[in-house]
Amino acid sequence: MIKMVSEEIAKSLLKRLEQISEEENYKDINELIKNLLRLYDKFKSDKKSKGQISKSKRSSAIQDLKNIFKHEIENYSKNIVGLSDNWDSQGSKGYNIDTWERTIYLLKNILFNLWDNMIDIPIPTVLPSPDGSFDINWETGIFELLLNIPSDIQEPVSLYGEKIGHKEYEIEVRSKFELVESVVIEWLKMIQ
Amino acid sequence: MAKDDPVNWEIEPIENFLNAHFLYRGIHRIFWINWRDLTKIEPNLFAVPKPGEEGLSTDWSKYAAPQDTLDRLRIPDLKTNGIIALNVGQLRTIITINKLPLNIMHDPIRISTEILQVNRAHTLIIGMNKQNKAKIKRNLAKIANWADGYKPIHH
Repeated sequence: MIKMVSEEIAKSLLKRLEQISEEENYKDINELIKNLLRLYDKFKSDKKSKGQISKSKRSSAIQDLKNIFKHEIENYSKNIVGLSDNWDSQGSKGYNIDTWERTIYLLKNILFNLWDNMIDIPIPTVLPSPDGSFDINWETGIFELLLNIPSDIQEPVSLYGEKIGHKEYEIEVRSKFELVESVVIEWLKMIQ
Repeated sequence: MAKDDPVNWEIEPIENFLNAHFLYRGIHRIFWINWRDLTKIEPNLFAVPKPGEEGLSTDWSKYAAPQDTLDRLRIPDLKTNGIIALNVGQLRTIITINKLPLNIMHDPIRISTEILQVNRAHTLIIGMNKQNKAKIKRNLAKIANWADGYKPIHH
């Protein structure tokens, strides 16, 4: 069954919208509202056609998701990327652009692959951790998955995931950066 | 009283940590400023201890209130720092259910250093390392809450 836009994605966008509203960033709000309305229109018309979605509609919806991804990710980097070591005068590690770019490269490859294959996965949170690493974190009604991307490129990526209510799908792995993408994609396909 | 002199503070055994007790920890805004929802604790707050640290530093509610934890921070202001609370009973539950190699260790600071002040409440959560961190971060986030009245102010 093809699901173009899930409730999860819509919810996460609305939450982000509220957050941006608090920050009074009207340019961002307008951009998000436009994206949301476009997605809802597509969702409604897709539902009407009972799952029979044209190829062009499908690729246009996927392109919208990819645009939203870029917008969301930019927001996550604000105030964080570029902080140098000892930014808190307590010896905390900074957040360098290389770690950020590796994190986003990985996430983009995972999401775009799944979306292109019509697998409905929301955009996760991408947040800094006190050791200079970044966490990619999904929490949906179906699964939870955390990836930790360390600042040291030699150090493996850690991941832990669970399908809610299905202990047999639990995954706990430390893997070379280059291999993580395929591990995550396969696991996410498997639990659908 | 001699007993109140920090040099006489004893390390208390694990059984003195009651299930109703809490462990408090200050969280800088850098870690929550970009959350989608401030009421939903994200795992990014937790990390493997820095080199030279034995575990995750917290304050034990037997000897500290959330305000004490806040006051010990460099900027004791809810616009900059929030205070999370981990319930000891819930911590024991997730340790048991998920077979986590975590322990609570009382670690009173008897002499102040450049980074740590004298603190009888100081307690470490030990056992998180590079191998198990993703699972532990996820589980700690599940039981963490902002201490009552110490949810940070997003501005």
